[in-house]
Amino acid sequence: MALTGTTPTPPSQTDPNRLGCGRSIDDVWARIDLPPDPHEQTCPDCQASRHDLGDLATATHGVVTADKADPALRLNSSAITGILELARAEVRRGRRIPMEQPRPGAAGDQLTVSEQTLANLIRRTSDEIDDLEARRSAVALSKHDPLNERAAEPDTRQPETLAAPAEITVDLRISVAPTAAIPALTRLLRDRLRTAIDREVGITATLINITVEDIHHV
Amino acid sequence: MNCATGTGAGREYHRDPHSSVLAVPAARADFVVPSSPAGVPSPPRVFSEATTVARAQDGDTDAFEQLVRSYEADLFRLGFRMLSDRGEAQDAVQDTFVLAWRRLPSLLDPEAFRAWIYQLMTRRCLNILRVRIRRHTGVSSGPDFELEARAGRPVAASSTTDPAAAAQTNALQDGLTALLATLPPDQRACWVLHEMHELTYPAIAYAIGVPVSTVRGRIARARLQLAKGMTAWR
Repeated sequence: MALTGTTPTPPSQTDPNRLGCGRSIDDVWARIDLPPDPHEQTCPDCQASRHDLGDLATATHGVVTADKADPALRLNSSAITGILELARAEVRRGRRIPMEQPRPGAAGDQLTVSEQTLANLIRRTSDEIDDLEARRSAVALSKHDPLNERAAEPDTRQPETLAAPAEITVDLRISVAPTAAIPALTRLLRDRLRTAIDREVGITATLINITVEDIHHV
Repeated sequence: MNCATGTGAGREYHRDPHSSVLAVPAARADFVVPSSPAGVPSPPRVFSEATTVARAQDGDTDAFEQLVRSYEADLFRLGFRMLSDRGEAQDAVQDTFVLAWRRLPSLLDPEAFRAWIYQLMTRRCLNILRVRIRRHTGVSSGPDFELEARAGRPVAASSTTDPAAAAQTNALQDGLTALLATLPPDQRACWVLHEMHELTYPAIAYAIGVPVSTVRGRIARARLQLAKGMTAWR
């Protein structure tokens, strides 16, 4: 039976990324920094490809190294300052948390503290403990159980004796060192946060939820 | 790892009589806590990148500054190789960081920051190049086009003292610089991100918004084109 049909097309004519020997240029490129393997030592396709790609690899390495050493390819200090000034001007202050526990019928004007201020305080306090890194945090006024509240009853006390510190819930995500003892660490962190929030802002953190979300290597 | 713990504390209504809270007279004033206790400088802490990103997401400008300083050089180099213009590269880096600051809270995975900031910068560069093309200025006809060899630049690749070899190395680098600028922007982006910034194919796919197979094809085409061109420059 006579063979019919067309002569098989060499791979290199159908796929420009494939050499006549069947190897891909990706393969040659991946090995360009290594000595030629036994196939590459004898294959003319691979040898020619290694020659062309070798120049490209040399030039690429040279350009990258020169760019990294070029001080003109860095932001100057005024450009960095401009970025940071804009960022500071746009800092998201977040919601305002009243510093006194809201009461029905109380006057609308009151002292508040921003979420951002509390977040800064939480980070700064956490940073004093070596084995953890404070990440994101959120604060919210604590929700009270109305059944246990006496707020519905008419309050006849004098206004100046009514002010009770606001009560907040803190959610904080942290990363810990591999050697950290998590129960002791979170207990210490809670105590420090509760004390700092009370001392520096004058409000009460009734609930501090700590989520250990990662382990970092010191 | 995710172990949430919570506890209720005893409610204490103690107030420090010396607290500055009492000294703030205005109604609806926003209480400000000093950034550090007086006379006690905060010890510098170096955090993991994921922590730094998370803190910047929460509005910590010190953390954001660390990110800017960590990435500005990489992004500038990317911008320069994409745009072939230092001034435009600098503007693109600045625009990218401002955009990053505004969008940071929406970044879901702090671990993905590197790929994300590269995405913002790459897309900014590609947009600039599209505008250039629409204006029919063409890359090589721009007034600030900087393909000339750098006078007095570091010849980092030539460890040899042979002047002929050093000249050859310089010629190859100039050749690559010129050839890169002739690649279509999408191919150039893929090549530069992979070969000059060591981004993986999936990270490049994320940065440009195309499938990994497309990235693979573009890099292969760019490599062929550049290798062919290098032969001519030799």
